[in-house]
Amino acid sequence: MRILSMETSSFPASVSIFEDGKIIAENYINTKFTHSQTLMPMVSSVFDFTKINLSDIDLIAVSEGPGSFTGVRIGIATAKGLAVPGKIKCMGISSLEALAFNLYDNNGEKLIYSCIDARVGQCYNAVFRLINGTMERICDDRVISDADLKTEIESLDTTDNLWIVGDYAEKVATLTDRNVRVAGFNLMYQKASSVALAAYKSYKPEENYSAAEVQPKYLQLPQATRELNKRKKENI
Amino acid sequence: MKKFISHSPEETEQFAAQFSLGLQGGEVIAYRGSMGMGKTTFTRGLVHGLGADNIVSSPTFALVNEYDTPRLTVYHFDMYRITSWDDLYSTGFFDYLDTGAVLLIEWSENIEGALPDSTIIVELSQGENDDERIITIEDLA
Repeated sequence: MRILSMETSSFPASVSIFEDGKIIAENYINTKFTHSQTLMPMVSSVFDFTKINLSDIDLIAVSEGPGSFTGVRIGIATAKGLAVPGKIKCMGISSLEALAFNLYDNNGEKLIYSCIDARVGQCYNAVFRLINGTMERICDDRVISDADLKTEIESLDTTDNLWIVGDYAEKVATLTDRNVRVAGFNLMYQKASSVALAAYKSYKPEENYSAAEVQPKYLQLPQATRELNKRKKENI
Repeated sequence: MKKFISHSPEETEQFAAQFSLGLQGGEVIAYRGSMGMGKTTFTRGLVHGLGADNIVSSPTFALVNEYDTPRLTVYHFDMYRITSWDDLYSTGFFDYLDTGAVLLIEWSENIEGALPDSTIIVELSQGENDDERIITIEDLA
């Protein structure tokens, strides 16, 4: 099964072609935001270099966030634009779940905290347990404050092999004295091949995976309770 | 605090062009001032000062305009219709903050709770007669 995958939910942008458990091609950049300019040339280039055509693709997998408002929508809009004309199946994958797949291996056990910076002392987070090649989701994608995350991590079983991945990982490691493993530089950030692997692992052949159903994942941030228009508040 | 009295749109533009020479990239400039005080005029001068042509227009409808200048990228926002944090997210404001571009924000009063501490406030107000404007520049913090 051939998967085209895209990840633009944060600063990095990447595209990959994945076939039956193997990465055939991957194009990755991590500079400043210009996904709207770089994504289509990156998609074209992986097709050009591999001589694979869009019509050879069985599934388009795209990161649906959480992450950047514009980045997520650039990825999803592009995925839909590619999927709809040829009625190619299209799947949205949580950026937090794909990050957990950065740490994928076939043996052993890891408890994985995917953490993406959400500003003002909080992060987007989800927890996964990887056992002998099976990734199990432990909680839904959520927003969590530094304080709550610290409390939760410190309440974990000390025998858990705890790993942290994502752009907030190093910050999370400073929050606690508990022994944690932080993903290495080459596994830390969002990438398309992990989106493809996550899609491959959850794919069910009988499902439609219609592009119309893929939507940006939006998590309401608690700071919305803070007054945006301070002057309006003063006038009341 | 810097203060300047402008007697015409041209003077506002020249002052803004001069001000632009000191920009490094990454600055957030929040305008305060009601309609007709010269926010878009100031923007025009600033963008000229960065070496670009006449590319500035009011972002009221689009919410944000992007200007490429030889030196820096500029994002020009109009927050007039922004009333909630969700609205603000949808303008891409938080995404643009980390890009090393210069952000210019009209109707910044509407999003004061979201402005970074390093924001520069440019306030434009009516002077003594109809043509006159008082422009002040100071740090938010």
